[in-house]
Amino acid sequence: MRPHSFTYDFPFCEAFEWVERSPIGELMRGSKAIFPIVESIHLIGLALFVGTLLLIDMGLLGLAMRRQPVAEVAAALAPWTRTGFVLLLLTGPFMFSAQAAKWHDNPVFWIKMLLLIIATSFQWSVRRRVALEPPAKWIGAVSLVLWISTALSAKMMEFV
Amino acid sequence: MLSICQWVYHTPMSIAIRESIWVYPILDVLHCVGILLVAGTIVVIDLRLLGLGMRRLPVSSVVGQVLPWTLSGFGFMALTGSLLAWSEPLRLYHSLFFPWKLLFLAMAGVNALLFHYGIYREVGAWNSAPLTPARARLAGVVSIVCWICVIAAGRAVGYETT
Repeated sequence: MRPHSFTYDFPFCEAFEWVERSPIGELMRGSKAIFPIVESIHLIGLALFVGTLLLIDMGLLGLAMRRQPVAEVAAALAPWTRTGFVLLLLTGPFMFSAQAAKWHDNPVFWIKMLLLIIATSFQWSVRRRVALEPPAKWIGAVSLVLWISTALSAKMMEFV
Repeated sequence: MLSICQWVYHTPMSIAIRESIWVYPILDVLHCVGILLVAGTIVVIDLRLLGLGMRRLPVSSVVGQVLPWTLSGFGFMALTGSLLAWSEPLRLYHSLFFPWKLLFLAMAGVNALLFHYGIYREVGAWNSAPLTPARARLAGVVSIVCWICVIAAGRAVGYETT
């Protein structure tokens, strides 16, 4: 493993280095092809997740799928949003393990994780009731802002 | 082709995008957003064609309501993608995967046009059927496969060293 110096004093240095040195981390660095393959699956999951989520949230805002009740759209698409989310959760940790120590030093990584926690909590507490209650515009707006920020911070991680 | 790429490489705009610290990452982020929008919304149409989602809505209703999002995503993706390609034509010229990405993109486009001007013209006959005709289902599968390949080839271009 390359020598590493921590610039920020976040509390998980050893754990992150351990993950990077673990067999899974080594597997992810084992060939040039494996990381792009896992990342492709991650992006396919993201496309599924973001696409279906966008149609539901834009529906809540009255900007898409206006010809039927939002609840119906949400009920029909939610299983696919969940499928996308599962793909993301399955592949994300593998990508993380390839360069865990590097992510530890990256402030945008921590912003992404924070946004992910907030967005997921919102999803599972407030937004899941969309199918049951009269639609509330603000739920769609908050959900969109949270998930778009999460996805953008994920992409910006690469450049910081 | 190589001489065209070399000419593009030396245009002021290509140099400007390449040498700026922020323009390339911003274009890259927007390009990703565009692809996600295209693939993520077209898959909803494909799932309806395959009878795997939104079965209770008529096909034409799903296509009519989702397609504007797909097309605006496509415009976004094509514009930012062209600018990204403009900034590094020589790398892409020597790239192993970039031609594949364009090929799958073209196949996705041809598939969509064949669907739209083919079986979709008779949508009235199967609009509300949960199970669509075989040709429509085939279009759905081809679309999903093509977009998965576009995304995968795109990632491969990002990581290959030429």
